[in-house]
Amino acid sequence: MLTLPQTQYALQILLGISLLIQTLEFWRLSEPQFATGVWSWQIQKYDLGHASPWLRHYFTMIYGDRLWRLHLVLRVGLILSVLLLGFNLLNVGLLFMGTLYLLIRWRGAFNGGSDFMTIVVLTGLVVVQLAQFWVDPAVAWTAGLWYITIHAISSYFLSGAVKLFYDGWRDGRAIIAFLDGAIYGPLAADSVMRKPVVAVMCSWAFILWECSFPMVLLGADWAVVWCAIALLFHFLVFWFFGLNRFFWAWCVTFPAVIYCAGQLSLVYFGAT
Amino acid sequence: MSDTLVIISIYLIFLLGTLVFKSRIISGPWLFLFRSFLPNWRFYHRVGPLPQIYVRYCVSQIWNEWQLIQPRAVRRYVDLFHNPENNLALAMQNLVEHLAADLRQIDNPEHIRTLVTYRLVLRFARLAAQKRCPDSTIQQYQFQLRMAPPFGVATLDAVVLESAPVNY
Repeated sequence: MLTLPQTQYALQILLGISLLIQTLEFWRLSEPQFATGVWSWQIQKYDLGHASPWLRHYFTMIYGDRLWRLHLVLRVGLILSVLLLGFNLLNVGLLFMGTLYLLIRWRGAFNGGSDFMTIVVLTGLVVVQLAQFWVDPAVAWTAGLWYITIHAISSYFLSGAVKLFYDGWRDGRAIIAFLDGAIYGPLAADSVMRKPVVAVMCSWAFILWECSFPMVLLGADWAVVWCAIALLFHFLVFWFFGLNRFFWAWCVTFPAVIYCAGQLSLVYFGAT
Repeated sequence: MSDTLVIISIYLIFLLGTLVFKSRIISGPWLFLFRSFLPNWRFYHRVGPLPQIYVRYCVSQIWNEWQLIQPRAVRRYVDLFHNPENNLALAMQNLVEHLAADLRQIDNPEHIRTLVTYRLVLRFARLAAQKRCPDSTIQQYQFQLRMAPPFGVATLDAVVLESAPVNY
């Protein structure tokens, strides 16, 4: 079982790494967002066609090329402050606002699920920082960590359950179709994944593991095992689909999951 | 049964309920931009029609064949730590999927050309043409949006949108 300081420290390090990876990637992707790039704000600003003129002017100003890059530099500074000093209202609040700034620039999401989970974690940390004005810090942290944990469990459970309801996943055809369409695809003609029995076994392994993820709440030991499997799962997702940010975004949630599982088993069973 | 177990049970029943009962889809321009606050955890849940972009360009008054533009990459361990190009390629594919979604929702298909999604895809097509023909002088280019059927391949009759030729 993780103690609260251990959980905070693990969260601090993993979130720092995840945000740093994202920010350096955004730095490298600045050029496609310049005036002649695909993601030019000159086009994208019409997403705000419904907004008031002053708001459109404000967004055009803050999404200028220089401010964009300046923000990324400041963001690296904030991430380093998290890594070296831990969380406080200033660095967490600014990172949260900065993430919104990044996501609006990418029309709401750049990398889908990893953006969602990053926002979930930062929202949980904002809750922690704000709640400390009214309640004991330990209570505030418990609330924030549970917020992250519930979303992490929901993400696995829902992802598994929707597969369970779809015959393409149950009979193994879906996994082959997705691998063929993936960024490293298509699968080789003689790939072992094309064997129906292998595809069915892999599909059911994912479905059952994802659907059973709420079992982490049985105790910290269970949570450690399920999170270790999750680590392998996310590595495979990276390896086959190129989704590196998912690996880190979900890793960040594991300390919260293990901590909350330990807390729950203490309350419920009196032990881990 | 303790309060905690009751809460967890209600929570799991609620999650299952969200899968069984379909609610009205809420949409709006601000909701679209802030959709990260309403996470959708249904990853790779169904093999549906796959929107694909085909591009062709005109050099010396001759149009080349339509070429499928899809994200493709070489697998490397280092990408776990720094993977901007592949993530950008995946974002481009998401953009194509948004265009297909916009096309389904729009009342008058002619208005699609005024949408941000369409104009961004047009830029994407220009970039794709430029990458495939870096040395020659492209005069015009255009794109097609085709819907590949589930478990199938997009053919010419799967075209759902074709841009007019655009001067390079």
